[in-house]
Amino acid sequence: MAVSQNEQELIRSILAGSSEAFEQLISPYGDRLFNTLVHILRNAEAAEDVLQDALIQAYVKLETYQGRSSFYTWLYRIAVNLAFSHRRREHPMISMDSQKSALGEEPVSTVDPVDAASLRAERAELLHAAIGELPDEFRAVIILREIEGCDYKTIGDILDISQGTVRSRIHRGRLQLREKLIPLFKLFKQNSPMS
Amino acid sequence: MSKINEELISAYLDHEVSTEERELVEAALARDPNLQKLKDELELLREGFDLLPVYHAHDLEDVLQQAVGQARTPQPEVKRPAGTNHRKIWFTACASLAACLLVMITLLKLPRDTKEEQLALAEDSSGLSPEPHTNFQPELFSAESDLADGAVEAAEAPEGMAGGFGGVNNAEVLEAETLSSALHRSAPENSPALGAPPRAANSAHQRAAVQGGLAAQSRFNADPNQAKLVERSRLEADQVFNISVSRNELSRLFDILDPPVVADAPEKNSDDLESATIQPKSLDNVAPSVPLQEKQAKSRPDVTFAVNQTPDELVSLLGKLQAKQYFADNDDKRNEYVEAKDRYTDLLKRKMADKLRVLFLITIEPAKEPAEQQED
Repeated sequence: MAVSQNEQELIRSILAGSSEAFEQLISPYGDRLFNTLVHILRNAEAAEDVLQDALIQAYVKLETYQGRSSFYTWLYRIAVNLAFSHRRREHPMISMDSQKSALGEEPVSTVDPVDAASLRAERAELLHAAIGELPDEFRAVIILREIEGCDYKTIGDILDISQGTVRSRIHRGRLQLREKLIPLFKLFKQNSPMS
Repeated sequence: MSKINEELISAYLDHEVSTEERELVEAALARDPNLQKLKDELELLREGFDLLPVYHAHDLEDVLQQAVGQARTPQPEVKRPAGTNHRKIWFTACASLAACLLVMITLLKLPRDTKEEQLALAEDSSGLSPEPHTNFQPELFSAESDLADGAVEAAEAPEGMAGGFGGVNNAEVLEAETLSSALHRSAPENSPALGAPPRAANSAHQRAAVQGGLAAQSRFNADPNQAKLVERSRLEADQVFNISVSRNELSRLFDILDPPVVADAPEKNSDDLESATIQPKSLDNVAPSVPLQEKQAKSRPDVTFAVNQTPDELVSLLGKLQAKQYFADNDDKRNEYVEAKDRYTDLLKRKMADKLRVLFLITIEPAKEPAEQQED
């Protein structure tokens, strides 16, 4: 993905000293990036810290951006690297319920497992936990693919790995998730009132 | 089913396969129910991702503005991987310490006259070395006169002559080595360290060797040019210790500094050595121009003893000297020597050598009561 003309102009303005241009450049990606970082770090507070660090680095190092990859890819590379560095230092383990509360979302109720919404929420909780248990190299590709929606080439650019490696890691990560979750998912599906 | 085929299933679900690969996967799915089952389970798994919550950053604009603000400050705060700063700090500290040491050594050496040093060295090599040969012929040895010369001609102690843990004088190291070489020529079976001959070598030849060495030392001290060499030699030794002993104790001191290789009739040997080194009357015969106490206060060592020691050996040696009260008799000093082992170890590491160069500057105390000495 080449740098759009609009992004090129914004980058020139930023290098000339415009902070407003930086906000315009980052805005399309900021929220998405935050979501990705929360899933990587499983901690909203840490995700905010890493996001800010990533934006600082992006601003400081913008003059080194050569445009060979998209700005999105370049920014995500910075952020994902910071996230995994942070994770290696901190290793936070916080449940989705507490995260939802912190983010203003209502916690999941587990009183009535038959309720479809509860079942979906339960599946999400289990999936979230299982993703957190994946090795970093598998988690990164899975999140970028499944949550961020990146294609294999973009994932390879962000993580600086080949597309063949992306393909291999995605499949191996999915196999690990499958081993942990599929028996439960099938059970939920059987018990679901809408199945 | 090959592993490659399985990876193709995931890629197929992600629409990341070529046309040919897609045809292969679809054909395999049609004929292999296990492969179809795998595909179905992976699809079910992927559905779960749609259920994951989407998190939104609070006040993204504030985050952006703060990021820009921090980035524009002179030293933006950027998190670094653990260990990087520590490595840089450690390297910078080591480099700074090395630079300081180099400056100190350079400044200490600056006042010296290179030419004069070379001349003194030349004189030392040409003058001192042959003399021990002469003195080490027992029939030519005159203990009284030589020791008297040594007592009279003791030069002024150079400034900065350190006691205990201090600097080192190159000339003293040089004269110690010269004295050592003189002793070795007279007693080749001696250990490399300078000092008294082993107890087993109880002979007039050995006694003469010690006395001759002392005499040579005295003559060396008398030469003002040698004073500069002595000063310089201090810089080369790693540790310097001052010891003041009576002539009675000199041989016992050497027994500690340079333990005998073969233990043989220690009592007899020690007595012989003591008698060989004690010449109190020679000192009494001296008519120094400087009052004796003042001379002692300012005099340079009568004997310099250089030895190479590991940190453990040095601490052990210092402990023995402490036990014999050659050093200050107090617990603090004793502990200081033992606790210095770590410092010796660090010093050795900086030298990148196997052993430390240790210098003992031995001053022979004049006899106070002739009656006591006669009894010995």
